[in-house]
Amino acid sequence: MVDDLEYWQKVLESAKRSLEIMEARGIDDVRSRKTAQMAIDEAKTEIENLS
Amino acid sequence: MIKFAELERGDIVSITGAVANSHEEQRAIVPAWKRGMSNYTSYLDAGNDDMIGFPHGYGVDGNLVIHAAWSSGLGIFRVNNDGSFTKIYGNSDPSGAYGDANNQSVVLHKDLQLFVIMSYDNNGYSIWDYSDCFNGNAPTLEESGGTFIDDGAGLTIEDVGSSYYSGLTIAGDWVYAVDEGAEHYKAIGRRNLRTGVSEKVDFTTDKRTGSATIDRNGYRGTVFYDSVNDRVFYCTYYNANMTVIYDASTADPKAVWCDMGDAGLGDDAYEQGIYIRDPTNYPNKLVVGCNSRHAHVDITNCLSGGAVSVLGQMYTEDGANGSRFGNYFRAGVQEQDVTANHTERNPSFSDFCPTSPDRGRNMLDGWLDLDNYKIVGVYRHDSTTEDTTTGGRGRSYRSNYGAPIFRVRSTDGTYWWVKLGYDYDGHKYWSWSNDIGNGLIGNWEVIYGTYTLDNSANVDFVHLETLGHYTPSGCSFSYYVSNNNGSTWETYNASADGYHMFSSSGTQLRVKYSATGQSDKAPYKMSSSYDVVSYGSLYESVKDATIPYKVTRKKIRGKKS
Repeated sequence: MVDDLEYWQKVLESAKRSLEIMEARGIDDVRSRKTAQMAIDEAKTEIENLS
Repeated sequence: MIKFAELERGDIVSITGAVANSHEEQRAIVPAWKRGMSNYTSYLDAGNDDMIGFPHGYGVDGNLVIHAAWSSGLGIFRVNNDGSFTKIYGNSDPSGAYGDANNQSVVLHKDLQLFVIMSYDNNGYSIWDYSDCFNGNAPTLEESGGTFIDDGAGLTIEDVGSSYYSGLTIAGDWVYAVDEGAEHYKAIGRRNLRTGVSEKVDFTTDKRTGSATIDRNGYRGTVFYDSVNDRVFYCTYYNANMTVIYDASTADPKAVWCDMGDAGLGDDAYEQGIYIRDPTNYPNKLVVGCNSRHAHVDITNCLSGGAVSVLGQMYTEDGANGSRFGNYFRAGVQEQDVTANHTERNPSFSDFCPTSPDRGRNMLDGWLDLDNYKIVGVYRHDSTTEDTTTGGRGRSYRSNYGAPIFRVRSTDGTYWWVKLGYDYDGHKYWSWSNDIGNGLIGNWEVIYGTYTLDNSANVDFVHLETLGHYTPSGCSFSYYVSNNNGSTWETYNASADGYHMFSSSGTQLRVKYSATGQSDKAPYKMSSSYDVVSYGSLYESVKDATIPYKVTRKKIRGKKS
């Protein structure tokens, strides 16, 4: 399986949604947020490289 | 002339059967799974496949899989005879009563073909009839509301577990549910799906004969069912751990207090999971999540009021050993039965205790080494170098959260292995054939190099300093060195002074690790540091025995002053 543009866009979309839900519901778990943010940063980098 | 070099990940010349990483303070080499993202059988993007809960984030009945979804509610799919999936149902708003997010708990009553789904921070529950899902149709909402359990005497349960472990399990007709709050001190709530009765199991009055009296007010937590011995394990996140409820499916359950705090395992069960190696012959020896560790314990003495016997401990945050997982570490399986069609165990090896990711740690899944008592797994998916060719595996499956890969039997009797998770590859359902299953490749090899001396001097000797290498029982770990860039290899055989002397002549050093293992365990490196190699040349006079190598003493004549 290739980690293609579509794959990383889905990773980005999912991680952004995770953060949105955490914001909306007041979930302040630091490690959960950090995990989502790491996925966002990684996905953005990969998308930039693949675009 | 001597030089030193770290065996860095970037120095890897070849790697088969393993994953090496270098992330933050972890320098690990772990055996790779047979499964990967190229040798799967099928996948499906159902749009709601974000399974986050453990251990009851999903349930299986026959070829049907029903899972709770953290950001999108509920998903149901069927595993077909060819390993493909058919989406049966997906709903971002399962009940309408409690929103659409943060579901992490679901349990199935297979006789009644009902399931209960709940969240950890949105009050409410729903109960569904899934019988028509076997025909490819949507489930029917039977009941939903705010309070799932109300015993009429102060114990109410509106949500369960926590982020992101599940707080439901089922024993026969009884759904056990755990929440936080003082009403849960020394007690657990349960509801009978057949009769609708809710009741409180009070650990002080419903105590099994011989058990010590529980003396801690634990609350919040996760629950596990051992169908082989009809026991529910209630592991409290705060203030005590653990209570075992015997005869859990009957009208007369009895609690046994197993004080992990008094056994030196910490007061809280931040880590999650139960694994019973041999539930038939040794039901009281189990792995249980404790405080900053998973512990292998024997609870036999607790049946007569005694203490928990600690057999071994595996720390989740052990920097020197490269264990960088923090808390909320998941180990163990949902179904302890070794004969069930649905299993997360290794069908061939009882020793295999899988571990799962949480919060972006242990992203490739791992396992517990119950011989050396170590957690084996890499922190993250990135900063890794891995075998992508053996068995056509491709790279490893990765997710931020998940449950162990599990086995499902399709209607024609074929076994398939299915992986669910959250984030990354957790965006889809994936299946693998039974010959790939949930095992490790077993044997692995890593070659490092090429290291040279200044002016292309001969490499005559080498010393290898290994850090955090472990060999489980029945496995072997061997080291080889070459000074001719891998044309020939010599078994690394250090003499008393710590150096291996090459019998060949050459200028290009390579180092090879060669491990033999099996599908449930294999050697590994778990450390915070790279291994180090030192190598160099000897003077010709030392190498050539025909050259006299001797300092002649000569008395200096003179007059003493």
